[in-house]
Amino acid sequence: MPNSKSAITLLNSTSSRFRFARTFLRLFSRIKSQRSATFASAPPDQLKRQSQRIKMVAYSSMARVAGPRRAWARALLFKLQTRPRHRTLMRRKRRPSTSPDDQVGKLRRLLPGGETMDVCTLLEETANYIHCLSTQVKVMKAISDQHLSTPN
Amino acid sequence: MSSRRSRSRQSGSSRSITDDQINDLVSKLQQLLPEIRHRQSDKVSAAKVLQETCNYIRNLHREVDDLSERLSELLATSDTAQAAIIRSLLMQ
Repeated sequence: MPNSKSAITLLNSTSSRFRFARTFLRLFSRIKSQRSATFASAPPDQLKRQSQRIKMVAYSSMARVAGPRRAWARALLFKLQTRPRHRTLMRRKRRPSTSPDDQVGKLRRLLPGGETMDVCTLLEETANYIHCLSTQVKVMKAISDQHLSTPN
Repeated sequence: MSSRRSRSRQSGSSRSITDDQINDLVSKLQQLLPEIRHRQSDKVSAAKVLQETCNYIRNLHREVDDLSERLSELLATSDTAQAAIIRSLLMQ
């Protein structure tokens, strides 16, 4: 069975994409039904607020799929649930003082929860974060392509 | 939450991190980056991998922004097809 291993990898990546799609679509359709219930038309600021909500839904659904064992997912969900005003007070409370080179520091600021991780955890979590984020992007692309190709 | 934090702090200081471990993780990270995925890992410095990682994450964040906008616009224009789309996506 030379191909069994790659088949398993393929299956895993497909099923993880499926879980991303399912979780995102569930929340996405909720936005959709709320929108059509309250607003018939979409003025520009409405559109902006709505795209902000879609963005939050995208990040929170990917954090939920990744699960609570992932430090970045916990940090991201916490960040999304905490109001921005409160967040500024809490930000940068505990940044490790040792940052041997600047790139590590930049990565820390980019990864949710990265500022409190040791270097090994930071790299591991980053790899998982990139994987989840790119899957989320693929799912969102697929949904918007579907929208475009399906006329009303 | 606080216990988790203190645990990770302890492990951060007590766990001895070897260069091999770091190199291993860095090359794993490199595999995920489309820009430098196919270069031989000994030809790419760790700093370069980290730099590309940051760029890639920023690009993905930007893509999420753009796609959110696009989906928001699409929601405003197309209404009836939604149920069919969801169904077809779940069937795939």
